[in-house]
Amino acid sequence: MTLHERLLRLFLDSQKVAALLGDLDEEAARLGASHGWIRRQALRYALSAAWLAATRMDEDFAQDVRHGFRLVRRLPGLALAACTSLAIGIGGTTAAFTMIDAALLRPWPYPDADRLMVVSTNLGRYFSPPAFRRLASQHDGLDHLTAAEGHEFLMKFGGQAVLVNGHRVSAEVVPLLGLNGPLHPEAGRTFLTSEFTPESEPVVAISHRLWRTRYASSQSIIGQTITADGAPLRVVGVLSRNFDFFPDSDLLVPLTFSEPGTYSEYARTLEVYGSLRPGLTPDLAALMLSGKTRYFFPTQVASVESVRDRLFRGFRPTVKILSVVSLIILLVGCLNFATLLTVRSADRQQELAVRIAMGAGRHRIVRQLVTEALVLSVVGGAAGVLLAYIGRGLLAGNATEGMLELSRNPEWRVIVFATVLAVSTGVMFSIGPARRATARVDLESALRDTVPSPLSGISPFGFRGNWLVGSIQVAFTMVLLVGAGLLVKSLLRIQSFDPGYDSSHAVTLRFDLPRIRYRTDADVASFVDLLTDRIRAVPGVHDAGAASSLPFFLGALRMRHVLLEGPIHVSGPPEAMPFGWRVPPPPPPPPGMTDMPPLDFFFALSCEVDPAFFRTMRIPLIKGRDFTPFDTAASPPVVIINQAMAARYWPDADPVGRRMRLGPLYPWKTIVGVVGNIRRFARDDEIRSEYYEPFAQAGDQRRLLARLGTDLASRGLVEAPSSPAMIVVRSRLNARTVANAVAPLVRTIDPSLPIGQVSTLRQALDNAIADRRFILSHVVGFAVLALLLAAVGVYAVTSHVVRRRGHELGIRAALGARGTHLVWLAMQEGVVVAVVGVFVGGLLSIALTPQLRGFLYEVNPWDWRTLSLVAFLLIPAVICASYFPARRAARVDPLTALKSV
Amino acid sequence: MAVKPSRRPSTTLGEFEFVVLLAVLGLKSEAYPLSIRDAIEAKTNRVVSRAAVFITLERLEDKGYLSSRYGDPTPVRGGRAKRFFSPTRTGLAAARQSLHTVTAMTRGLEAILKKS
Repeated sequence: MTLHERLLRLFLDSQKVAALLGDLDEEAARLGASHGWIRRQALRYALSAAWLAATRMDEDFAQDVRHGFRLVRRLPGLALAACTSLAIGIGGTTAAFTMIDAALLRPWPYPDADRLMVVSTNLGRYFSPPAFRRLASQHDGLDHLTAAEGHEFLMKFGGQAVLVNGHRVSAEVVPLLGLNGPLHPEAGRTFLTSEFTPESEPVVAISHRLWRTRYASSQSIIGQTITADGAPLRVVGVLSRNFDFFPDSDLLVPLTFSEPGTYSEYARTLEVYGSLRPGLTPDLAALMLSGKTRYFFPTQVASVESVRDRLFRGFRPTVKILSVVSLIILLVGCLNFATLLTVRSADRQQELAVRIAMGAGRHRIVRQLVTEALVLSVVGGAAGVLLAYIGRGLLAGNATEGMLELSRNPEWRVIVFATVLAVSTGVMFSIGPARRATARVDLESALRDTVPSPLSGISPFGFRGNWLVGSIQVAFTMVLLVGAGLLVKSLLRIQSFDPGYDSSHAVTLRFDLPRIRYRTDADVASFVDLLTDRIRAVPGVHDAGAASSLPFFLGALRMRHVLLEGPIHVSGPPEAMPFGWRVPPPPPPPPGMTDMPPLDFFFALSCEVDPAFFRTMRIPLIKGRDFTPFDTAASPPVVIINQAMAARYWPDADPVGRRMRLGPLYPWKTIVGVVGNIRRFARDDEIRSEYYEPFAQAGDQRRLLARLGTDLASRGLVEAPSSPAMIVVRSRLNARTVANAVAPLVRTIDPSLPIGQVSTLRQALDNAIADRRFILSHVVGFAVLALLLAAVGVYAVTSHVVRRRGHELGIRAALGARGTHLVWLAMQEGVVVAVVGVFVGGLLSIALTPQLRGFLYEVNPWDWRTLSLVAFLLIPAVICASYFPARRAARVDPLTALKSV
Repeated sequence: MAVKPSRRPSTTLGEFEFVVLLAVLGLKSEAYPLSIRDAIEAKTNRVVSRAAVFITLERLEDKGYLSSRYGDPTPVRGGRAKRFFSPTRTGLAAARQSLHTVTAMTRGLEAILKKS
């Protein structure tokens, strides 16, 4: 075959090509033209034929699309089922993609965002000001090294004291985050270099949010002076609305390194960011920085990590699970779609046969079936995107705080993703059924309107493959159901666990008592005593207590070195620090005692409480006595330890009466009681040694230094600018009512003190499992949808089998087969699907559920009870889906069936 | 089950489509691309490309105005058959409609049209 003939045959059938070439031969003979002329003319014909084919395709496509919409109108039930199947699959996947997009793909507005790094060390992520200055003195590895320190500023709006989150930042923040570039201020300007010196006038840049909510977006705020923490700050600018590098931060204030504690190596409050130099890797930069970090703490090793990576690391497990779950639902949805299309094309055998008999090309019919499916898939995809965007609200609402910032507007990447997904699933999952439908057309029987082979053309993937497709659906549904079952079981366990205190009907209020006004522990203790006394008098309040830290709120919980009076017998392995904290270096030896032999320090969490704390929290006193109002600064120092500490250090002895202290020069504190353990950080966290001391007796360090005649700053030590006091109010009133009742009481004691954070113990507990709840709601939701889809799929296939085997069943009925036998014949397929699907699903679950381990609590990922329960529920559900259509088989009229043969 | 025509017939004919349809009518049973082109060139005194005739014949068949059949192979054509075209009933109706339109529109314009 010549080249031009081949070309022509790409677009025309062989007879037409032969006729055309015959015309050319004839004309060439008439004109005496050469073979070259024939070739040229044939090529021209080929171009024309290509153009014609393109225009035909266009028309065919439009016609097929119209036909697709007619199908929707004619068979709304089938179209609805197919579209819904895809909508659920595409919606779920799009929702998961939205999260991944927000976390990974959406570009950050900062210059060189991929090179934006955060520096940390093996001792933690915070640096002291001297350590930061050492890092910044030589720009090794990172450019624009910037320190940032979070701080709550006390401000007043309309006479009401309010705590506003803010950050103190060093000068390089401006080029690092592009505050004069892509993120230029909405109004005013950013900081000048001169404003980062201690002599300059204090200035502030406010967030767009604060500007909008507190200053009505007024331009006149620029240049005005606002008061924060009692000090005047001149507003120089309003930050860009896209600036969210420090989430929830509303004030940016220059860090001048003249703040208290600037010279302290122990005041580790600064986070350090920088831009990775081109050509360097984070590891190399970390190696270069480690030379500086070892200066004060020889064991301190720096590490450098991309800010984006660190942000994503936190919710990587969530995204992973969501991705797998959404892919499963997509697969189940697509298989359903394919099954429904197959059923539909099998029902159209006669129509297809007539068209083929009339000369329609097989490719043309496949193209039409695929286009029809495409119409359904695009409609389903659009509905899916809609579902995903409706679901986004739930997704974002359920997400743990600070988990993800989802964009309010549809992202073009998400739309493109969903479109590609819809079109590709539409084509991929319809091309098989369409090819098979046209391949299996039985012209003779279709044209005679008789019965073809009962199972012909029913499976998208092969003869009798329909049970395979059904089994895959059931198997994946089983995986989702097992996952959901494990998570539900886990959540039930978590919710029924005993945190060690009574979390019901307990409102918590946080106060930050500024050191300027609350200089001594006695000041703090008297504020707490006064306030709790007055709160107890409020009608509806049963009791009130106070502590420097509450479970799940942190507050001022400290990890302390303690020296225990011997003899002690430490039992058990070393305790792990919470949140992966590293063991801090031991405190520096006191002045004049540098040659002291090394001491065997232990670590314990420490918390300051008032005498009513244990009673209000309902933490049981196991041994000894509770604190009393007589445990004051003037009385002998006392502590109460938890059971874990007692068991660890005095496993065989009574700890009551033993003594402990913070260091050789500190006073001994007598253990007067042992209280029950409480969970502080997470429901499934281990319980650590912990001791409690009265508010009035805390602050050993300050008292020691006062005794030694020196002050904190000169010893390189620093105190937090405020002491947190968390008040627990035991009451059946809701949190807002309690806060409203407490506010005037606080004003009578200290008019300028704001209530920081109002919550409940129950809410804090719930927040601690928000990520589990988030995953749970999604997995359960998707599992239910998958079950529904699988049931619809099995129902559709069984209905089809019943319809196609109607004649056979009728004959059997005529020959005397019983109704139950006919039903059993029709639903055999469903039973096979259920049993095989559950078996394969069980194996898949065993392979996949260990991925959920991080979200489970006291539940084995291979929990056989959950597996059995799901199997026990799933098999009947699938069999039911095939039973209802099969029941119709029993009603087949034998007479009608016999007539039609 | 009734099968719908694959293409919806257009009620109007383009100018060249009309010319080709008239040529097919005129050639009766001898209408194949080469003879159709020759007839048009002879009667209209204009050069017509082979591709234009080929595309128009295909489109008229798509619209249901023409049908085609294959004749016997002949040696001068390298043993290949001719593809003969004949008008369908709708094709005839469309030709009549087009002629009627032209006649109706030219009525009263004879003097002007003759002059030009």
